[in-house]
Amino acid sequence: MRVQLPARPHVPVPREESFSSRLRSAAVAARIGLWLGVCFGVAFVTGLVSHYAQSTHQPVPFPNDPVWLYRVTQGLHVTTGTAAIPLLLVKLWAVYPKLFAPLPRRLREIVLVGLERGSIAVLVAGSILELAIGLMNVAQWYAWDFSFKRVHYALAFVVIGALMIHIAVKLPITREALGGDVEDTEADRPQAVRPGAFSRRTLLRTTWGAALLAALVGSSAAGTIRGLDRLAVLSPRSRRSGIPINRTASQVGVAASAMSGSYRCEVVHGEKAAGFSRAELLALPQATHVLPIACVEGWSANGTWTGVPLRTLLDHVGIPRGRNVQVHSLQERGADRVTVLPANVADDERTLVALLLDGQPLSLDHGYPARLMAPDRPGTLQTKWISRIEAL
Amino acid sequence: MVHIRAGLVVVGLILLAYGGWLLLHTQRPAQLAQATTWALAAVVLHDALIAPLALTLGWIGGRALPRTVARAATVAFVLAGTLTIVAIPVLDGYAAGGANHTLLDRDYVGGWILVIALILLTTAVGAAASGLVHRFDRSHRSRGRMAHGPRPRRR
Repeated sequence: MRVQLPARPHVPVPREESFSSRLRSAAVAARIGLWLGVCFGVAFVTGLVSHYAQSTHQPVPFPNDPVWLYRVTQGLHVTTGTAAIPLLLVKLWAVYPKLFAPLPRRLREIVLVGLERGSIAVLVAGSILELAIGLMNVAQWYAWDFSFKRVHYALAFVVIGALMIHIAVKLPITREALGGDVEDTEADRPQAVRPGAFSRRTLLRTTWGAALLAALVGSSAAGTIRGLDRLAVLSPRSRRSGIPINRTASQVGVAASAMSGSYRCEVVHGEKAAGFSRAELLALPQATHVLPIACVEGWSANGTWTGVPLRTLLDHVGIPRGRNVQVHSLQERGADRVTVLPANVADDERTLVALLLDGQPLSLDHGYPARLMAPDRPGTLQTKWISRIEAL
Repeated sequence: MVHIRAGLVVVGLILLAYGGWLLLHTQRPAQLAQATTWALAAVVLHDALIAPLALTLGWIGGRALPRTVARAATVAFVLAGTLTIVAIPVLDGYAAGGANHTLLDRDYVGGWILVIALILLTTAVGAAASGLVHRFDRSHRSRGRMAHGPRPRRR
């Protein structure tokens, strides 16, 4: 007797041929890919610049001029990274049918296609993760246990490496697609004939619009340029309460030691040492400079900082010019408790042990009683709550 | 071009290997496993959720809506959809803001509603305007046809 089996539920798995929109074409993918590549390239190079600027070992010191260099490179880093998100999403939409392309039969081809698909898998997974953790990091949403800084840095090499392999594989078709008109159908899949809701040109314009919108409205660098800040309604930083703060005093446990009456800023050169209370620092000759604070998270802002030129304190204990200097913070926890000032920054007359911001005593969160403020230096290295300065 | 492509592959492989080596040597196995899980989850999230969702909406929109409306709706969807994804961290309550009054210091839900409303308004006005232009063109053309004989065959 035959038993009638219930019909297996039919789950439709699409094939590459199932996708019929003529918008999904090499002409579109190549153009979006080009700009995505530009964004990734800029973000990679500016990321390396930022990494070098934060490195404690700099064979060639990071320049202290122009003062706006780091704020521009890091602003670009975050802006291009944010703009890349819409570009990546539309790019993936355009090439989505490829996910269902059949595997070849011959072993040699299987190996080659397998390697290519593998590089694409690494590229896609790495790109999404790199952009996602970057985006979450600027909002300080730490939902992971791995080190953001190290994983973001390592993934950058993975993504750019996989991207170079992808470009190498696609170079002939990309050249052909970019050489022709965007509406040309020569390089299209034969099934991609159904007209979409709009032309490819409109799709591209919409995509550029989406990238621009994300950068202007949503990036943490948005609003750095005055006038544009009112558009930046989805930026993690509004700047309404003046210069933003990355780490507050309570987050790094300095509130008690920073407000203590026994506070001294120690300056040490071997056996020679001197300690200054905030009042003693204020009694020394003061200098005022307009310097930007530029965060690794992409935002930056100019401030008018007043304080003792670092050089004055170094001279006090006889630290000669040309020496690297180490700056310690009262911070009990958090990154960059100890930072190294390369000689070019330590000797710069604009480098201050700052005591006032915009004419007012520093707030506790801005580094009261005294903080470092040097030209063209990543914000995280502008050590707040200075406890000790010593020659290396 | 063969040399350029070969060069790209070689340099790409070196960078890839260096990145992989950095990951292996700077993260503990548990951290590495978490990062890998995140990467895989990101791909699954896109390939199995975001992409099919966009596809389905496109499929329905392309068949259910008149062309002018579908066009405007697609433009609005691309702009609003991608911006919303970019805004997830600031819209999400898990991001750290509380302790720091200079971080996440806006009304983000209000800002998001405002931008989405502006996108919808702009695309709707654009669609209405292009619909009017279309109708004007057609009525002009049909009057021209009456004067100059039958409509020329297209393509």
